[in-house]
Amino acid sequence: MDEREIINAIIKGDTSIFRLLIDQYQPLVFNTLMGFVHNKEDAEDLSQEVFISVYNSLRGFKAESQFSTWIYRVTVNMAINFVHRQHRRNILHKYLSLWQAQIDKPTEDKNPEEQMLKSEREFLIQKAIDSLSDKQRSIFILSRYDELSQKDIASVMHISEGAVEQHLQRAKQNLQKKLVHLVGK
Amino acid sequence: MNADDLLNDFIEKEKQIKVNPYFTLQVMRKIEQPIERMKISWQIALVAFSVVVVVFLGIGLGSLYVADNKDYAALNINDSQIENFQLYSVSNHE
Repeated sequence: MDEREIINAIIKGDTSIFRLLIDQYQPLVFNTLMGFVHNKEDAEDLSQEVFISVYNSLRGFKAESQFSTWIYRVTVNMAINFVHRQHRRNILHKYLSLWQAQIDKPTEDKNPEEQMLKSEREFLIQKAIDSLSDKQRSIFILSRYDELSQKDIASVMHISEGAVEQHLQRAKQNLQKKLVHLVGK
Repeated sequence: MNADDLLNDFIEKEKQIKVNPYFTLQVMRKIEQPIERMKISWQIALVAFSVVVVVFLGIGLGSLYVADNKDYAALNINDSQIENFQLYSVSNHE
């Protein structure tokens, strides 16, 4: 069954077949969300919300773009909304969770001091990525986490390829500036 | 190690994290759950509606009650005459 046939079958009422779409697109959605939230539990919860939203909106999918492009758009929008909500809620809580997530990550390093330094570095890298503007961050994540081409990113973001290139360059420059003091630690 | 390498390492590490193996089942359950939730909502709505009907029925039945408007003559009995049994005699009051 091709994608179009699967979507038509789901719209006609065959709900169970939706699992084929979940299995196919779940890595892509989860990867993208990890880039935004850096936390497995949040990324899983948001991935579920993305697929539920996709399921509920399937009738509205007009096949003007590829299905993958549409799913990326839903994922990026959901991630940005989540990030804004988190930001409004409690900035301190957010950074404590980031810090805790780093400490809880399993590691091969046995030296606690090294582990602490590594966690601190990763925390600062997360913070640097999170400090990018919504557009720069989205484009950076689609490019580095999902390895999409500039053409595909332009399609997802509804902007030109030139604009994608520009945002990507600015994102890289901003990240370089923020991370330069980490080099050599 | 430059900033790019740090970023690459960080991103590669996050990309290694995989979703739990029951993810598809969890999503499918949530998609199929609204149908069950709707049935339960209807039941709750029906119970609430029944309670409202019963309350209004009670108010309606209560408002049908008409108070008895008969006038009763009050006997003013003077305590000093409490042992005057003639006052209680029916023939004396007719």
